[in-house]
Amino acid sequence: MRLSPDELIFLDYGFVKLNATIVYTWGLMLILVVGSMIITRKLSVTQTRSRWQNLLEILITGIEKQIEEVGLPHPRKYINFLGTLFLFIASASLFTIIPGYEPPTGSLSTTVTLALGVFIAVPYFGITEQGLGHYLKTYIKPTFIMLPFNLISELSRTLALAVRLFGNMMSGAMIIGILLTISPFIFPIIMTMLGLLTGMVQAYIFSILAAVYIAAATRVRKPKAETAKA
Amino acid sequence: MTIDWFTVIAQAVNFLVLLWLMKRFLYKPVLHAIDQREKGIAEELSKAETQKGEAQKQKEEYDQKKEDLNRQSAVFLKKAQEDGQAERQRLLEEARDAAEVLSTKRHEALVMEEKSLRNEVNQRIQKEALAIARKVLKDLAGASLEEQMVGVFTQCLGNLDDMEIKTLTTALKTQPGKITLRTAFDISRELQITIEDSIQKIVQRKPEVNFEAVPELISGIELSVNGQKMSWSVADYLSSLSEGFEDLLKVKVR
Repeated sequence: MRLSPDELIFLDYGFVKLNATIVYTWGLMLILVVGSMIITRKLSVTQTRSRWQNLLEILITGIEKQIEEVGLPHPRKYINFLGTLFLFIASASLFTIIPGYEPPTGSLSTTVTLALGVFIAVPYFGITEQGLGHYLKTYIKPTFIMLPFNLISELSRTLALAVRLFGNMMSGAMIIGILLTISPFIFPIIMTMLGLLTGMVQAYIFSILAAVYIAAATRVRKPKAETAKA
Repeated sequence: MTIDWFTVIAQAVNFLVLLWLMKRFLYKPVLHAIDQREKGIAEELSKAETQKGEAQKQKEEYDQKKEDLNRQSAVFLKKAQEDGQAERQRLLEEARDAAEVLSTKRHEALVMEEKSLRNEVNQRIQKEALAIARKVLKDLAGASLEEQMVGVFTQCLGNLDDMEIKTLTTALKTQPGKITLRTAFDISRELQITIEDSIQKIVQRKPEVNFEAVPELISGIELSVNGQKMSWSVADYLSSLSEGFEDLLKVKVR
């Protein structure tokens, strides 16, 4: 029993292995990019527009609004990273309705990659927004005693992100796999539907958490008096 | 359930590529389209606002113009009414004048008619009276009316006062020509001699008398010498009758 698509290897050159995770990721990338290209090839700037353009606009403005609600006042700076995270994880879950497909997010390697991406993106956005000095100072606040705890928190939340997504996606695929052996009719379909829901929720959770971490890192802390006034 | 580090690296590369591609093909064009549309809408709105303002301005202008026109038309109407009134007055006066002229003309025509009628009546009366007189005289005395008239005329000549006689003789002396005697009828030679004799008695010499018959005199005798005139006519007797007729006609005309 395979737990992860990493284990399905198509080509093996020692360290370099072309496994199902990478192939499925390429497939997802292809669909996302080609779909975007086709839809955005003829974009309308007038009042009338195509249904697909409407869908994309709803999606993008929805993401933008969510980012803004989390506390990032300029969502367009972050929409590329956070939006792509969401779309990638969501579409990875969505395609589980195709038989034989395994979501690349069901591989710990992929989720670790995404979590590392967040781990890098948080200080990157924090530094660009606040400057290096101010960003580093956030680790010794309220006092320098908090420094190790802050560092541990950084690491642990990254780990949590990776494991949470992996656990959810893997378990979904796993449950379906097990159920298929027990009762091959109807029940797996219900579980697939449940898996779709879980996948969407996970995509939302992952990107929202990333947004929250970025928001926490980019927020310029104001003195208490000023905050109170504000 | 282990982490395959090659897959991690590959996925990181994949993710970076995906980030770039999505930015290139999804977010940029879609956000651009949204921005463009919003800009377009904002432009449309501001344009609409401007047009609304302009429309409002134009409406105010038109209202003002309408008001001006109304005021002007009221002024023109008033003027036209006044002009009309004046014109009416003028036409009325003209008509009145014309009517007056017409009435005057008619009155004159009536007067003329009256005059001619009166003349006609006079002449008829004279003729009739003369005819009656002639018939009566003829029936009563057997003498012709002419004889009677000549008789009366000679009597008149005989009754002339000194002043009249002097005038007559003076006129006769300065007049080398004949004396003209006009009668309404041809008179007989005896009567001519009677008249000549009467004249001779007055002027003390034999006159040369030229007898003329003028029917317009109706019944009368007229003697003219060098502009001096002496006459007797039934017309004299008829004048009172004629006056009576005139009075009657005047009453009728009124």
